[in-house]
Amino acid sequence: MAQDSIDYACIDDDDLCLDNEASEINQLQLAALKEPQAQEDVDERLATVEFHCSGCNMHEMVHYYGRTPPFALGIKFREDSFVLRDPFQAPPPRWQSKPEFYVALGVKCASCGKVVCKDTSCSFYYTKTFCLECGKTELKNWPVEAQSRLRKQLAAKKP
Amino acid sequence: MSCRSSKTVKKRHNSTRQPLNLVDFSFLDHKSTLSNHLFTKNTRHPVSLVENESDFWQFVNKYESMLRNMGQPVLPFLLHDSEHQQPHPYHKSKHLSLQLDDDQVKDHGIEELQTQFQQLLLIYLDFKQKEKFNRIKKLREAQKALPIARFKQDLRSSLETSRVLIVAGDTGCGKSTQVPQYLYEFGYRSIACTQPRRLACVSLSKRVAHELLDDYGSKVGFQIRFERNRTQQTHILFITEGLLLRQLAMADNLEQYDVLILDEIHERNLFGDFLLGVTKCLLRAKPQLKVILMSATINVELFHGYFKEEGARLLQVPGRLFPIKLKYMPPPALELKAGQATAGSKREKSSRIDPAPFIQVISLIDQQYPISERGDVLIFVSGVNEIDAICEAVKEYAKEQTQWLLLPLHSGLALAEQDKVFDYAPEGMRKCIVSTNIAETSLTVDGVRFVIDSGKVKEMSYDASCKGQRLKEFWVSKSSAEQRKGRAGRTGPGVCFRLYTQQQFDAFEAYPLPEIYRVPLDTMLLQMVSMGLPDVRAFPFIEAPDVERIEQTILSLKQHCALSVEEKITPLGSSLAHLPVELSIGKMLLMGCVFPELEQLLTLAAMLSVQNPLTTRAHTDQRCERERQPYETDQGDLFTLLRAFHQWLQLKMSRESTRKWCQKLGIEEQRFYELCKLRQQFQRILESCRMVTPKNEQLDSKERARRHGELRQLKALKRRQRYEQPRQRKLLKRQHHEAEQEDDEELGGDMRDVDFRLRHDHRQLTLLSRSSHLESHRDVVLLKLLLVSGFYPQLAIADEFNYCKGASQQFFHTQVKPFLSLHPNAYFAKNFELLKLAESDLQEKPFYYTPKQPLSERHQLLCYQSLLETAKPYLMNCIRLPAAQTLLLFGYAIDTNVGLSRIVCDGWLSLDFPQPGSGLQLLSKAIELRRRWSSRLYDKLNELNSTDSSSGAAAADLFAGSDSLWSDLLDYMSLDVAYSIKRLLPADQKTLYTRSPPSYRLSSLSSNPFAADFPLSENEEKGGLNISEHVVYGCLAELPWTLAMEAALQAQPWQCPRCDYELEQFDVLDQLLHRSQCKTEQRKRVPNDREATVVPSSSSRGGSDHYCECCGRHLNLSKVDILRHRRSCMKNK
Repeated sequence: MAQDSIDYACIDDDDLCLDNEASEINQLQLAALKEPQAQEDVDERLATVEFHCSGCNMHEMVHYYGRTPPFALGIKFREDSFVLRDPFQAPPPRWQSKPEFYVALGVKCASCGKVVCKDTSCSFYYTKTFCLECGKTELKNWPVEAQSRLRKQLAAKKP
Repeated sequence: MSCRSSKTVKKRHNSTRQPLNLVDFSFLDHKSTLSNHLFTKNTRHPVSLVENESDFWQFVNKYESMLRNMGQPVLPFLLHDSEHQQPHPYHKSKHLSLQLDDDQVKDHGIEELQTQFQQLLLIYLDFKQKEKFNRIKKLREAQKALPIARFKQDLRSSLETSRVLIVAGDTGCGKSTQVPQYLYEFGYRSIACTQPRRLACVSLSKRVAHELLDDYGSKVGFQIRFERNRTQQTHILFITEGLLLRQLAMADNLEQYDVLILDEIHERNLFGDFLLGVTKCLLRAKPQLKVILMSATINVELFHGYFKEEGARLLQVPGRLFPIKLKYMPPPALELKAGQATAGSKREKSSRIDPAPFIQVISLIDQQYPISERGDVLIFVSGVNEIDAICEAVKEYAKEQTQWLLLPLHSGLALAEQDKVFDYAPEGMRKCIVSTNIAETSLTVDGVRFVIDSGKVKEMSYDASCKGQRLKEFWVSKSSAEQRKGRAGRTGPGVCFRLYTQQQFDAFEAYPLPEIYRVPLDTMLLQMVSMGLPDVRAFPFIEAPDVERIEQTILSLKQHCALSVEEKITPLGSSLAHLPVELSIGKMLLMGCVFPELEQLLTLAAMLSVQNPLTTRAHTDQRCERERQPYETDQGDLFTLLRAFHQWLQLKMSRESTRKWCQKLGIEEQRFYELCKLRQQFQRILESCRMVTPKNEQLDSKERARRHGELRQLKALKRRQRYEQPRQRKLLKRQHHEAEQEDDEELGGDMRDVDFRLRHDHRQLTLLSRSSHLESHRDVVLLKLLLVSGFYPQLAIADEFNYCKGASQQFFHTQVKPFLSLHPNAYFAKNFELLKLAESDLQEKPFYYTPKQPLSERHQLLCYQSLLETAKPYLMNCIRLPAAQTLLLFGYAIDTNVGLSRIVCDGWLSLDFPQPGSGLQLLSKAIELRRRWSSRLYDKLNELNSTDSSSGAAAADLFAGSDSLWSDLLDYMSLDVAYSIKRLLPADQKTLYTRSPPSYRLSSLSSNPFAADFPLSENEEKGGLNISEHVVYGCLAELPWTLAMEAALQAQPWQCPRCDYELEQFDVLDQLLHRSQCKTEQRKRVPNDREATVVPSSSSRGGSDHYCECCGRHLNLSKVDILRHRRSCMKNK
């Protein structure tokens, strides 16, 4: 990975330059020391729900399945969704919420019930989520605008 | 925002339902009123619904203009909740799986503006959801694309059937980041993964945490010296090899891991090899443990074979290599030169690399490969000097061929400079990276198409017998050459030019020499013993070092008192094993812990541990020499540097620029910054093992206020720099202008200064500055003593003929290696007179002292930090010391004759004390001080080892008494005693000792006159009596002159300097006997109940009264002595 090679950029060779490392480590700006959390708090933070996309094999442990994740602020989902606490934001302090602190990964297909992720090559949302297979059969009942959108998506799908 | 004309702005508060038309409307015009709706209902603490408001408004702007451009400016009315379920009629919002939670969001009422705004908010949130989802998805796809990914199931099944698994794959195959995650997925919850380098631990832990979507959690942690972020929830731990070893040393830590991953084992560094052996033992002790070894595809069979009995499975992960064309291009001139070399200037040739062959290849590339075909050049040479030489030549060449971008690469470069090699070359240009072997495996530069391999590498080798290091250029190994070649084929087909012949390649070693053969073993062996290994010789090394080297190391550990005679760990040894520093420095620090001016020692030890701050220019540029002159001291370079460092700190304190000053003096400023950091590390090490108590020097309120302001300023500077920091691969600029580069450097230099100031407040600066101020003689002497305490036996004596020779002919001898030189740049090499005896130092010899060696009070020895062999073997970083005092205080084996006129140290330096009483005076003082010092140290060590919660009170006690020790040591070092010194030759050893049991008088000594609490015993090997841990009394055979001296002294009476006791003859044994009595007398006067062992009377010497007819005296002598007396009496007549 390119990223990795950059990380290794200051490895010493024989002309070892003492303690360059320490400063580099400082530069990495470590997140403040993570403090051990109280037990009950931890439970909420643990991802215990398994999510496995039947389309692309995406496999993640998520925090919540349903429509109203406790950690989502101001929104709810129209269907039961597999929702992750946002991994890209620092978690809010206890008992507080944070905007956009949620990422929905997928749902069960409204027609066949298979778990699918949100990827355009796995599912399509129009009033409900359909896996692409079911979407294909379902689309004849839809208005043309919705049909053409799905067709476009099907065409773009990687083989 | 520019796309919307302001003319269309009309305030419309339509309560009638009329669709919004973006042609004459924009949400942005209602920003202030609408912003409210971005917040939750809760009025006390309204929380925004979006992460980043300005990002939201930008989105609004883009969204609006998109709709306008698509010709759909009219926003359709929104649906009711129930309508969302119906497929018909079509409505865009039916693609939104999100809805606002009415319980939390402000009621929008029926206002179209607000309703549409909230819809827009939903569209934004949905968009952001997709973005975040795609981020995760992309991450997973990148992971899946790694070569290792296809082996995940193999890995799982292999682990089920075997306890040891070897994963061999080249850099970039993803093993370091993925394997730990796979294991986590397989259900392992306590995974340790070792890395040779601290930085890799940190960056890998960050990377893996990110891939586990746990950037802000603690599933993944790291632990490196001084730094850890590991919690109860940590399941994957990246840890340095050294630290894991330390952990494993404690038995209760064995249970904490269920998988061990040892990464980069192909590097074959010392700790890695050590860890392999420990792991082999662990597998036996812990039947549940699984081990995964990861290496590049180098010598995999070795590791496989090593774990054969454990049933190791091998998993080979192919890299992603494109075909590489190989061209051997030995410079034709080479063979010619080889023939001439013997005749001509051999030295010049070895000191400078010939860049011509490299330029030839580069111009060949220019001719054969059109510039439209991208691809960079990577040149491998052996060292920094070689890089400079090649760069110079390429620069010259690039004046004509401007498509070349030159980039040197070695670890000495600042990180920012190193990073440049990852940047892209602009269209129509090629990078030319000139590198040491750092780019061989450790660091991967993509985009390289051409590799030019010099086939050379510089390696430090180690000679255990003389503890000397040698930096020499070698041919690389076959495997290194292959690695270098492989660098050409990472992004596409490539070409590798080897500047040597196929025959030469065939003669290369198969693999590079593992570190274990190239470095001292003392630290590792000490750790093995401290881990509880009963016999280090039985350790299952993957490739064992020489038996002899192990024996030598054990001996030296014993001599350092780190191991007992039975090879058990001593308290000193176990403390040393805990210090992650070089043994000699560690010992110095420990010895110094009972020393009041520890601060100074810390600074000095740090100075010794950084690279020499003086640049090459410092010695070639006359101006630098001149500028440095005021700081020079006749104590040698180390102390000169310390004075320069002190001045540097003064400048820092007065906020002056230090950069220019350093340049002027030829000092590499970076070293001083490193020194400060290292010093801090030493301090922390000692605090963490409770050898010193942390000092809390608080700033007072005024200072705090000032510091606060300063910190704010500094942090602002730092933030600004960081803002620019997160660097991606950038496009390189076409040509570096000299001026621009300097600007860059200026900026970097400032940042180092900012860092430094951030770390050091005024108090700390003052402390640092005080600690580098060694003006008083007392400080210098004491610190020198501490230095020797760590470096002993690294002593050298001047050749006896130096006095009549010039600067280049000054030679020195150590115990094991004769004829060494001082490094020509060293102060003592230029001022070699300082090491000689001046005419006025010579003393007249007593008539009985016949040997030709000069008699003086001013003999000196050199104590050196290291032996380095480059062109010649050199003594590095020398300090000078009074010879006899130093030897008697630190010698491992000190042997004397009965009359104490002759003392031999460690069997190689012989000291003659022809002045009556001088040998006794010096030796007894040395024994006393040495025992006081070590008992103080051992008290401290024992206190640490016994009571866990140490009380500060005890430590304070120790310090109370220490002052007299240090002033006594000073007195001792400046004792004026005349002696001569001589190097013994192997032939002398044969006749050195009596090897006979002590004389009757000797063996009847009832108490130890040198150290009352040390039990006397006969030394069976050398003869004589053991009178202290290091001293054997009376084992040296007498020489003609010592007998003559004795005879001459028979006639002289002796009076005890402490009391009025008198002896009629100058008899050393009688004096010794009296000492115990005399001291007894003193003790009686000053009652001391600690030492109850009071010697009874002196009647036990077993002599009988004898009347000598010759001199007419009554003497109390043993029979032997009577005979001897008679002889001398006769002679005297």
